[in-house]
Amino acid sequence: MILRTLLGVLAIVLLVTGAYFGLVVSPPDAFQGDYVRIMYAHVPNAWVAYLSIATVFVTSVLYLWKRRAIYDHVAHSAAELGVLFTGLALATGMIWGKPVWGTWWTWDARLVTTAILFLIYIGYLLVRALSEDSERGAKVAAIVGIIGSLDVPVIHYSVLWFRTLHQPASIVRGDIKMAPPMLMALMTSLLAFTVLFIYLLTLRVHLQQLHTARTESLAHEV
Amino acid sequence: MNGIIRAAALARKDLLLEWRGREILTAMATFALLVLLLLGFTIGATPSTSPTMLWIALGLATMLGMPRLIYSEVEQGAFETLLLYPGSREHLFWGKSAALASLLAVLWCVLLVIAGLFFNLDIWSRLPALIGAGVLGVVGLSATGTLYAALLLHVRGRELLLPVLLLPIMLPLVLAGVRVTEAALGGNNGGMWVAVIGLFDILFLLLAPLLFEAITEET
Amino acid sequence: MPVLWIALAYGIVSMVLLVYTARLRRRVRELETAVGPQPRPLVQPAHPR
Repeated sequence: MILRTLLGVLAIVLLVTGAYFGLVVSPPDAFQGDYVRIMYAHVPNAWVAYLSIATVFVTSVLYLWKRRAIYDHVAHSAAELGVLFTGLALATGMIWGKPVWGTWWTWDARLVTTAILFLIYIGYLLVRALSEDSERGAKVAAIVGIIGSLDVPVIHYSVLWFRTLHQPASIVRGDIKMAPPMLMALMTSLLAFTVLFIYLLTLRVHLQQLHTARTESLAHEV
Repeated sequence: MNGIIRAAALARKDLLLEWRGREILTAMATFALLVLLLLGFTIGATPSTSPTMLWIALGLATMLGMPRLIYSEVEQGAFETLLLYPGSREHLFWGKSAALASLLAVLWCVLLVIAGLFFNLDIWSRLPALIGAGVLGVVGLSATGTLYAALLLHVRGRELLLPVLLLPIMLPLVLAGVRVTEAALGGNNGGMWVAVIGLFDILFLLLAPLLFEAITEET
Repeated sequence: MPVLWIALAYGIVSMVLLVYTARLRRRVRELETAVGPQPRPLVQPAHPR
């Protein structure tokens, strides 16, 4: 409980620092100008989005193996956070892309995979919402989570090879030459969002445990 | 040996039931042809779009017809009876997906002929390769479809959820299928994509029966 | 001009995260008053195989 509060405080401190580095300290890019600052608000979301799906995978496997409820709770919570951060990654990506490259959307592998990841998360949460809250529902969700998360790299490479082995990508997202202040801003933001993810995860898992306890106590009363 | 007999019996029963009225196949084929018509008219057929439209039609039709086939016992309440039979549940999986694969294979052949007419494709000289492409895709589609259908058996709104969950899984299969079909029609060298689709099939044929058993066992 | 886009990006991220966190914390508070802060049973329940 105290630990969680500390995590939250740490997250806020890091987030503010990261924003300061990104908005004030770091220099504009040679090509993009000040638009590069959006990167510090975009990339960490994508990072957490993929961190979440990895969490879903690991905890789903653990749940099938050990059958301990905590793994089920973490998987569920990570999926919910996954929707959140994937959505933010897509939104900030579009906000970044429109002024810099002129389009809201390109069909490169990373974007398409992230969009599909978003929909995989939603499918997972739908399964959760529609199955009776029982061990069977948790088992189904775990299998859906495992296959869904393993699917992500498969989709990425399928999409990548489908296009690029035919024609080269028409819009090339050039790599940004990262000066040290930019790297610092990015790293700080990445760390900040990671801490935020852990904080939100513990909070969400706590909620899930409270939920389960309340359901059980109600059942006992009956 | 016993298991194979059981699986074959189950597949035979499903296919026999289907043969009586052929409703599922008719509905799927009609839907697929409508999709082909719509796409062909709006997008237009070129050597690169024709295989894509073929596979989209097949994929959508699969998601339409598959629940009917897999859940055919559930409506009669006979699914529990199936589960009561002694022996491995795995054979249930093989029976169901074999039935589904047979249906889809027939559908593929129908679509090939029609697409050949609509899109002016020379399918007859390429028939073996095209059949091969279809087999590779159909095997993967039926294995994943049967697994997910079993997964969602006790989930409310399973007919709604099935396409939502299946499409991301089918996506690599469809992409690879498109490239393989392109190659079969005389396009670029598709060797790599054959390997991709083959790997996908093998992986799912290995994993799906195990997961099927895990999900149908008593909790 | 860049300021608008940058503000939009940072603004959306901040707003969404703030709202989500606030709602999460509120739901936790509500349930904690109903059930008690540490709903951990003496033995961690394991779902039977």
